[in-house]
Amino acid sequence: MYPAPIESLHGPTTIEEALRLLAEADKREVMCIAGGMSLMQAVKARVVRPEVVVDLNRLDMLRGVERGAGGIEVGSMTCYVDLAREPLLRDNAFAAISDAAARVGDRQVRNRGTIGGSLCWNYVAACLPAAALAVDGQLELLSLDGDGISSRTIGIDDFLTGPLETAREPHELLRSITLPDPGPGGGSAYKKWGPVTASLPVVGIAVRVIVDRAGACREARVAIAGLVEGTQRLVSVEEGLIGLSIADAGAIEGVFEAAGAEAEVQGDQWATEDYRRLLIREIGGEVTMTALKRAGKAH
Amino acid sequence: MSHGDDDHGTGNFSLVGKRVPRKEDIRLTQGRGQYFADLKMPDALHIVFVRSSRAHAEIVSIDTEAAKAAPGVVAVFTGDDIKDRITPLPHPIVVPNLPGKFPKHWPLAVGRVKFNGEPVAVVLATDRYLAEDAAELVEVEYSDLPYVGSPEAAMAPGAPVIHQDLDNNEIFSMSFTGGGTAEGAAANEAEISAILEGAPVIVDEKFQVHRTGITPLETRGAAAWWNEDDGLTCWITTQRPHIDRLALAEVLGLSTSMVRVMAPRDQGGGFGNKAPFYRESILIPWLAMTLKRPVRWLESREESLMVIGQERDQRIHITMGTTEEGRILGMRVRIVADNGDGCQGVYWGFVMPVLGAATFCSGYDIAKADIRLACYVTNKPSLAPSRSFGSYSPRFAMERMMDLVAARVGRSPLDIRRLNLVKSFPYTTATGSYLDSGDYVKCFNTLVDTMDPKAFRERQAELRKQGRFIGLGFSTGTEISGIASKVFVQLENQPGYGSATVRIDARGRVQVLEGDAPQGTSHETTFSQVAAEVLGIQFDDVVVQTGDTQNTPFASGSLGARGGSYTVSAVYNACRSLRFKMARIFIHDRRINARPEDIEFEGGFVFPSLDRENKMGFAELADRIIMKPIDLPEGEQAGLEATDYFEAPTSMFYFGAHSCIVEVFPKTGQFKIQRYVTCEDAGTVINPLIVEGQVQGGVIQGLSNAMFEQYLYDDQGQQMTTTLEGYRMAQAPDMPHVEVTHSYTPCPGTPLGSRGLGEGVPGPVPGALVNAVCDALSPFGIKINDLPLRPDRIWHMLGGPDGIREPEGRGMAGG
Amino acid sequence: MSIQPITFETTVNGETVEVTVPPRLLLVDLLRDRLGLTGTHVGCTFEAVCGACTVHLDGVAVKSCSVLAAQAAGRQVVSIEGLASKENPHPLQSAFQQTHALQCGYCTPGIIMSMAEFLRENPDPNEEEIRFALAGNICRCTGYSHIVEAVQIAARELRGKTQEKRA
Repeated sequence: MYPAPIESLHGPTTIEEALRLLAEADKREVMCIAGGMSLMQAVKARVVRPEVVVDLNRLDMLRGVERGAGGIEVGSMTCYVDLAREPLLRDNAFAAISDAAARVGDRQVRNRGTIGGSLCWNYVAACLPAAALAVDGQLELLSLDGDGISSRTIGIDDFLTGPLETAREPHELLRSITLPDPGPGGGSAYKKWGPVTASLPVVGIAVRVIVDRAGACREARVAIAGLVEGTQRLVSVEEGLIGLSIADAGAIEGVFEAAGAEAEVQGDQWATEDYRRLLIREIGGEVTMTALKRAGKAH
Repeated sequence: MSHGDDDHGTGNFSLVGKRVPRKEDIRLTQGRGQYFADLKMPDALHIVFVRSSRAHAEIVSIDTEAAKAAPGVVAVFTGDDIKDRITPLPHPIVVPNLPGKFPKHWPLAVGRVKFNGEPVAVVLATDRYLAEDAAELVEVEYSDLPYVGSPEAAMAPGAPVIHQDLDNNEIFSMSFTGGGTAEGAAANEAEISAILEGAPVIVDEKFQVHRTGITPLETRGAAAWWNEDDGLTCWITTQRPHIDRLALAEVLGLSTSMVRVMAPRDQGGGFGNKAPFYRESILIPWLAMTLKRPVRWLESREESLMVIGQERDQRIHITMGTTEEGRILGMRVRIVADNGDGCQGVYWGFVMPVLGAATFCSGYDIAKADIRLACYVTNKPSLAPSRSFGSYSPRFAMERMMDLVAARVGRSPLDIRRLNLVKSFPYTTATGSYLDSGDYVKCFNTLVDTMDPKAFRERQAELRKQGRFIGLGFSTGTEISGIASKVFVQLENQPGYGSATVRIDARGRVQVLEGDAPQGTSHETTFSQVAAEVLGIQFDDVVVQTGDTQNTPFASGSLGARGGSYTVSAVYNACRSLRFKMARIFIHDRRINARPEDIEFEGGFVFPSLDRENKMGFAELADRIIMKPIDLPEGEQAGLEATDYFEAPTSMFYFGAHSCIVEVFPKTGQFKIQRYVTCEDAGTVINPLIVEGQVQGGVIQGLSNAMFEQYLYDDQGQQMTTTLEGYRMAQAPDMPHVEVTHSYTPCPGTPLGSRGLGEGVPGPVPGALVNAVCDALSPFGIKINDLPLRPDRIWHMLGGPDGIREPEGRGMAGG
Repeated sequence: MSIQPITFETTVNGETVEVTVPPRLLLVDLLRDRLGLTGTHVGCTFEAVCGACTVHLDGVAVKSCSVLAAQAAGRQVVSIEGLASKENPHPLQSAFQQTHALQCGYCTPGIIMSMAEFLRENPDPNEEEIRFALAGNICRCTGYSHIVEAVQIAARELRGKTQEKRA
């Protein structure tokens, strides 16, 4: 109910200050708090026991969405509510991000939770990691070294390493996620199913397609949340979607159905194993159609 | 609406029957509620429980040394520390007059733990955070025993007996139609078997309702302090402070004059869960007495989900014999309930199933029945009272049964209900339940008219052609409206009367004192309406105070819809007796030739109806009687205070009918409720706004139970639903709007003609919902007899992974 | 471990206070226990599902059970007590009474705080939007219908006030 004792809490106002605090991570249990919507649950359940907490909420330079050279740059501390409302992410190749952000939890959660927090937490049944996988997010991680602040970029595929695990080193700070522009004909979408509106997804699927002028898919990235092994790409689906268009709803469902048959799912009170496989087919089909529609408008 | 129904008997009133906004709401919407956790007790020690991590185990050892040495810790107690210092339950005061068993238990586990969550040790510290830190340091070593996780496991030959003071795991078993003797039960069984054998139509079905209940948003709390002179003072989130006081005095060996129990002015819901006499209710006061310091316990949600809120959980087997037309000739019912450990004062887990079995026939005329209930102890927390006390599972089974009978005989479910509903009152059911009054068929037909089944069937047929499946379902349910002493003394060893003290002060302001403790049930407003109406004064000049045993008359508790039937009647009667006293003195003073009935009380004045100018201020008259008691009429005393104990001449029941329209999507088994309508006959409705809220809330609770909420245990007895993420209570986007309509028959047993309403509202809900879903899916020929109702289950029934079966071209039998 | 208490200023309901707290103190406990503002309620353990603890942090509706008190340093917190005054209640507060949108009242402060912010963003919501916005709050008693009505009435009144202001 209450957190285990915390030694200190800091609210840095510069990136350098934050990184200096994170550099202590080899000596103490240091955790960053972004929105806190996932972390505080774990802290209050005493599943994690940070000794030092670094509050990232005063790093205003980490908030915001803008168009950059490499694509759309999303600050790591951008809240779900702002992503949901962001015109740059609406109805286009990046819409999986705003689709996902618009329905995470409830409005209080969306007011506070951040994309960076979600990606760094990488919960098994979370929406943003799947959406980020579909749009091939490129993550910039900062750290302190002898010469000052250094940075590295890592693709989302390599960043998400397993349930509740990422490639972020404890002393690193996620600065931004760049969503590369796939060029003309790109469209993405995300959809989930849970037993009730505010619940965590039982199955969530994100799809980004790039279509040719005839509307046929020539490239796809598909990601799923809710599998036992954590959020991941569905490579067989990505291959199976090539050549399909909006007119091929049945075939699209078939591709997802085949993937669902192989997927490692675990039943629980909300959905049996077989039902999860059904959801993979149904949601996958719907979300792909939406992505294709958006892609078709993007020529 | 038929003639005479518009005002539902309140046409002559100015406040009663009106949608009066509540006075509680001003403070509650502005953050000035006084809930248990808001009470300031700066010196109190904070209590955290250590609870069993095992479902069934011997306690090998408990090491509290590290906890005792932790910062801020004042004391740590285990079961061994208290077992010779607190007498265990059962105590007569919290034992019903029923042929069940009452397992011996202390407030902390002694020797063994019997469910995941049973309290094993208690830590007291100066700060809540520190108490939790210390509780983590208590080390318990267990030696596991086999987990008994269901009635089937509990009754199996060779099953581990959970309570060593019992011979087996059967905690209650009784026939409700056998007249109370073994011979009677045997004869009853034989008679019904013969009827069933001879019946032209037999419908034999099994139903299952899961473990769920109505847990309130505010968890429990208890605080106590002790001093030599005043004795024990307790704040408890309780629905029944007076019962708690008696029980505490008895268990702790105190004189009742040394025990005061108070329920906080505001409580965040109870729905029955704050009615039992729990382990914690005993231990916290004892700790205060022992440590001679104030102590305070605030239950966490996790504890709450592990220990209270679990009800329903029944398997019901019904064999019904009917005529070819669907008229019920006889019925055999076998109910098995998963009792949990049963260690719970007052209810012991089985009192709820008992009431459900006793009212099993609901509003149907079933003269011949053989109804038996058996409850089994398992390694789970005891069943605890939940709104629709005992009747949720039985109503589901009966309402599904009516639709299944209809399908079998080829008639509409509407006709089957009309055919079998009780039509002539009073009526005594096969179990001896006395249905006092009402017009069930009228109420049902009013609802049917609202739903317009004919138009629905046309729309349903059209949509089926488009491959869409909508369904219409109905259900009905009776529920106790207050509990007569005749029943209550037997059921819970407590009186059923409603009681209230009304005091008028020398400035004409009125105080209503109620011993029961409301938890959102609007007593402040409804009682103020009644008092203001009777005495002709302002609604705001009435103050209602509740739940303090020191200054309120004895009352058995806020339960069973007593507020709107019994307690409000006591308020009414007390006010009327004061009104008549004031009238008599007024007549005497003014030397008027009139009877007390001819004196009006209106707008703060008192005057003869035939001479309105000959008036006196209400406050002035009150002052005269209290402060200037000179020359009073012969035989009259000074003062204006009256206490009334209201007992209805017979037990009373109220009746409701529910209907639901759903659309089901066979491809995924998902469904959406398009419309939900109820029709309630609550007699005179004192405040329609409040009644509407009660019904809407009860329906959503019923839907939430049916669709989302379920307490689950794994095969080692570990509780898997200890957060609101796992145990999901319904929220607004997933719930329909509920339309509340009324059908009116006056209740002859209460002075205002009002019936209590609220308790039974969730009962008919799962029947209406599942009947609607089955109606939608009737072309697929499936039958749903089990709860919860979930999309994956529906999908599997339709064929699931093997492919959804094709709908057949069968038509519905109209209606 | 040597706990480093944090001393900071925060503005609660318009009043700036200085407090010293252990780092792990929750914002809801700062409000309830330290500042005596018990209108904000707690209804769950750590899962942050019930919403009864909702307050405004820098104008935004958040669950105060999931914010550490010291995170409010230098920020504005508004709880139910500070939403409006007794003499001049917020249209939501009057509307909730008018439509009987509360019974036990335990969830009410959290719902009102969430809806007050919601109506600032969406001044003319339909029923579906209101119900979707209520997903962060559990109400056990009312069944939500009266709450939806209250929000609609309050929205109308607020729109009227906005028009007045503009005029």
